Amino acid sequence: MTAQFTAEVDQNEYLPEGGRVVDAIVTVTAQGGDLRDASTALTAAQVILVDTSGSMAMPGTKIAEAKKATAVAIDTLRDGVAFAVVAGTAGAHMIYPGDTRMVPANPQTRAEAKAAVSRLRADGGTAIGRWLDLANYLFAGQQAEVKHAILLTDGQNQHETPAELQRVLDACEGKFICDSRGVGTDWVATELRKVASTLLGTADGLEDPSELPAAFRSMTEAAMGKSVADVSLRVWTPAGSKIRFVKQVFPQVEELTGRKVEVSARIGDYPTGAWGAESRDYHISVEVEPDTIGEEVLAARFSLVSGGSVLTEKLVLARWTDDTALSTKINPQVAHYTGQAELASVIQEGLKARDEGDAETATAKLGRAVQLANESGHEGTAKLLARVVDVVDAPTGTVRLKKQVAGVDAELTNVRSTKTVRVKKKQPEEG
Amino acid sequence: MRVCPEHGPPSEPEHRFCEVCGRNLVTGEAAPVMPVPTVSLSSRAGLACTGCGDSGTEPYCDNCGRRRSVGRDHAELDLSAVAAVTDRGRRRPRNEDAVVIGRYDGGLVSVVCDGVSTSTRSDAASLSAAEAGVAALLDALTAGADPAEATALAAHAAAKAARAAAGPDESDTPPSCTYVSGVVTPDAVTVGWIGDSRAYWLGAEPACLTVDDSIAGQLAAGRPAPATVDADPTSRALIRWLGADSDDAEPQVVTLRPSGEGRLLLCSDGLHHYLSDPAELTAAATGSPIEVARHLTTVALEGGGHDNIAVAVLSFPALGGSAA
Repeated sequence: MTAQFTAEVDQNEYLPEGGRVVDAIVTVTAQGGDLRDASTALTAAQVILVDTSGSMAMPGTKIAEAKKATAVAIDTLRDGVAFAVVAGTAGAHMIYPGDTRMVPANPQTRAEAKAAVSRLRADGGTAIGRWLDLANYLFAGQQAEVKHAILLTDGQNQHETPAELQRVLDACEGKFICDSRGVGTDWVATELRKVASTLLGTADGLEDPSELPAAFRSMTEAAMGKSVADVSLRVWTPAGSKIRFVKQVFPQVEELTGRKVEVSARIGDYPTGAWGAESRDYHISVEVEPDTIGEEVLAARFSLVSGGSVLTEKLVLARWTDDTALSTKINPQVAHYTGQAELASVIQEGLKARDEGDAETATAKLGRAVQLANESGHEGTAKLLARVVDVVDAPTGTVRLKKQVAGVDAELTNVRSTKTVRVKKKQPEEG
Repeated sequence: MRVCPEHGPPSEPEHRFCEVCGRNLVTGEAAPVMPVPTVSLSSRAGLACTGCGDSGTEPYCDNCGRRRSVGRDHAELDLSAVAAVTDRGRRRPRNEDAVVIGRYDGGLVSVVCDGVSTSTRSDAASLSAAEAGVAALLDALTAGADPAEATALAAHAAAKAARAAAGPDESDTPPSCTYVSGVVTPDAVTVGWIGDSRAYWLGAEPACLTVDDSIAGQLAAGRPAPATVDADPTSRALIRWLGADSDDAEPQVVTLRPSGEGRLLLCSDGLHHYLSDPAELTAAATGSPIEVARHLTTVALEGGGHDNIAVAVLSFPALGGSAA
């Protein structure tokens, strides 16, 4: 049995006379008791890209934990999963196997790979694009349904230009999924987010190198647990309408609007990668031609498709009414995720302004971020923000920029800025 | 020379049948009386989208997205001895009432269904139920079933069709509707219903033949209010209906054997909200069935037309073999 997809729509379908904009949150959940059963899992391939630049030895726990983590990831691979380990510096070098190919995991290859990893030494620069380029080459020789890379870095991408990295990312897009992790104090959140966003993976920073083994295990497990590959979000919209945006809004904000692949004049597909047992929320906003009071129009048909089959489908409606009690009602889910998306962007804008020395903008943006995090009960983000600003009054968003901020605190706040929380369970209304 | 006693000689001497009446000129036998063909008419709308004109059968137009109207905004159905009119009214955005009429060799049939406005796409339920009801009535009656038996079978078929109208996304408020059927034979009038659409006998001793399936309707008929419902004695809210959220398919059935001529009227609350007194309805029912149906629809529209209107009028007695 394959995964069972279900979807739910949250929206206020009522529009006032002449109203055009229809917003809806669609929650998609994939489940099934045997989703993590190896017999139904997809074929997989995994490349582990380990930063072995010189800074990984400062302190030595970074390279030591990275080796341990890589060994854990190797042990987490299912038998038969093709894998390779690449050392990343200013270039990219095969650690295991010795030549540029991938080998199936079995007791012997796992032992050989771990032995090769244990001999790793930290020495060299950082050019993430070259690592990804080698991963792309390795994956090209594989037929696996899920191609997954783990990228670990501790520093800035110093030994290539942003344009070089962009060119490689463009070449890799759609070819494999990549989860990126920063360790230490010198990694750059915007770089990791860019890699994760383009390659449909996750990005995060680890404060302590000792967190690496657990992180590698969970990334590998998630990849091994994927049961449906190449899932696309398919959106039908009516003639005369315009898609304002399509975003993933949970578990993290991901702008999808520009990734539309046209299927027909009315239908576009947006890539979402592979799915295991998980749940994601999407926000779609469509501008439609107003119809007369009482009319009902299908503003969007929202489905998930894979390999030509529809996994689940939901309708987003628009109904025009002269009852203002109906048309002015704000849907709590739409409001919540509008706030979460704003939260992500004000954090990023505030940190950028702070880096550029624009204290006024930084204070305003980060103050708004504190206010939004407080309103939505986003404790993780609220705690991170408190490392960057002194919170005077959270409900009004009154903050002061901290004078001394550890670099990694700003990067952690930035890399996690897109992580969202779901709306709190409804409390019984008072009064 | 072969000659028809009524129509004279055929155009060609060798013809064996009269061209006018079909009499066998060799044996002199009159042509057999042809049975009345079984026919039915429905208020279902065509396939063209009312928004952009594109044809299709999906619930929403695949081009402009507008929800398809399943029933016509205004329909007049006329089979002479049985006729019906339905109208959107003045307040509702679409017509979710449905009416289907039919005629067979032994009589006349009709079904009126009123889409429940609080459920989604209830016109899908009302049209499907009305059409399934008439089809089942005609099947059963032409196969020789007794009208009361046919009435029960038709309600079962209509309930099944209404349940099937629900889409996968509509478990909360699936399409649902009321149901009332009428069968007129040469000697009897049989009605069956679920919900608050009504049947009236218009003639000598006019009467409402149905009891609304609402608390107010049950109490007015001297019946106990259903114990399971939190009973407001004035509530007109439906306590029985057809749809995916109801497994209730057993109609109440009443048979009347009128002593003289008259009409059976089936209608939705779009009419009986404005005119519910059997004597007043009888007084308003002059002219042919289609004229009566038009007139009563106009009465409801002029009264305010707050709801969709469906009216079917069946002549009694139905004259077997010459109902047309």
